[in-house]
Amino acid sequence: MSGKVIGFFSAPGGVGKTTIAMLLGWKLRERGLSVLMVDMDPSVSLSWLLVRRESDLIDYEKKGRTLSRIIKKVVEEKEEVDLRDYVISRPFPSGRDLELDVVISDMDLVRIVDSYWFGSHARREYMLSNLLGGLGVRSAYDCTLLDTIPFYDRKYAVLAVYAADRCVVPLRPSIIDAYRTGMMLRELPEITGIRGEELFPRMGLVFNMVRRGTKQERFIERYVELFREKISARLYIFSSTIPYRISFSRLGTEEEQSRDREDVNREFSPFFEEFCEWAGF
Amino acid sequence: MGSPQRGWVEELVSILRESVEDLCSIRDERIFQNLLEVKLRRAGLNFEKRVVLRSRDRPDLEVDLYHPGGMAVEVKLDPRFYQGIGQVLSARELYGLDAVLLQVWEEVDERTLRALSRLAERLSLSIVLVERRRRAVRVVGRVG
Repeated sequence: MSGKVIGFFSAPGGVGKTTIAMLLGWKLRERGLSVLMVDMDPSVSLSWLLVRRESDLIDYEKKGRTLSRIIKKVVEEKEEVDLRDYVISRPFPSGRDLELDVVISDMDLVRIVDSYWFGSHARREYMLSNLLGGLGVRSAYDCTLLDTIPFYDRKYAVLAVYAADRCVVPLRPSIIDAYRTGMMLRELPEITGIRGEELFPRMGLVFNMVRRGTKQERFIERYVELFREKISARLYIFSSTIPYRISFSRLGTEEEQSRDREDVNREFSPFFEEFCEWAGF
Repeated sequence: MGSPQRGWVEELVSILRESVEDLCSIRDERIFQNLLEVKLRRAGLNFEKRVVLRSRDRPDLEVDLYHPGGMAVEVKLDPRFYQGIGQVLSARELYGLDAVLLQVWEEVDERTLRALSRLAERLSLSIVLVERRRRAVRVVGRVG
């Protein structure tokens, strides 16, 4: 197996990285692919959404089945680790669905990543790449999805860029999101040390939370033109957008589940199909 | 120490090819050795990582991956072309091991390839080259 690694990061927060990653994970599983979700966000939102029971999450943290513990063992102590000892499997979005595998995050992640990043390690940008390679995720999974935190902390974006084959960058169709995303992309070649020609074709921008049939759709066309003109013509911008009403929390409620499932399938599918083609699934 | 098994280099190459995506994402020699050891074991080749060979009449020698049947692999990530050759020769000449040099490169240019081929032939060595950019694995010099 030669699995792919896809990273998620964004300029501002709250743009739907985790939701998109979860929905992609779900759809890829439905397509028959094996999927590993890696929560690189110390606020544990992806972990919580998958594990659901807070007591379970605390229990896993206490037992050390977390990303920070794996980083410590594999990257710092150079120990051999069996990924299966750390992966937690949970059905998503409901109990009757296929299971998604997840490596959960914890509060210690910030300390571990910081201590590695600011330590004396050579080629620190490869830390996550080393970790995933050492765990053999590409041999074990068709797809590994890395959910990170916003660009406020640049380390996580750099780590994702070096570890992933491609990165999905969600943004809302607003001036502030377009501006911040543009600033981030402009900065990215310098902070990653990867030339734009090489970097940008691996980045895929997707407009999320789009209110269909409103002037937002016209603005998106203009934002796309600006990104191509000011950042790079080689930047990939998904022509499919994701509408506002796709809500992960609604997907979890009992009473509306079947209608939500239909909605999500219908509204998310165009992006999903385009994503599969772009990422090579 | 046991006699070297025939064909194990081909097997090593085949294992490297199967895991090339994971191996190519690693830039740390020890993590690389750990993963390769796991892959070799799963294929029934019980190598041990980072073994120090000791003898009363010879200096100690650390071998990156060692098989009690008399095989050894020296791993070098992003090396200069000559790196690892001394260790492989020492393992062979001082400890009688069937030793292979495994070098992982971003890309091997023609000049380097010619130099490595020449060294491998003259010294009767197997040098396994992994190229990240092309996700390619090949052997120069002696095979098997």
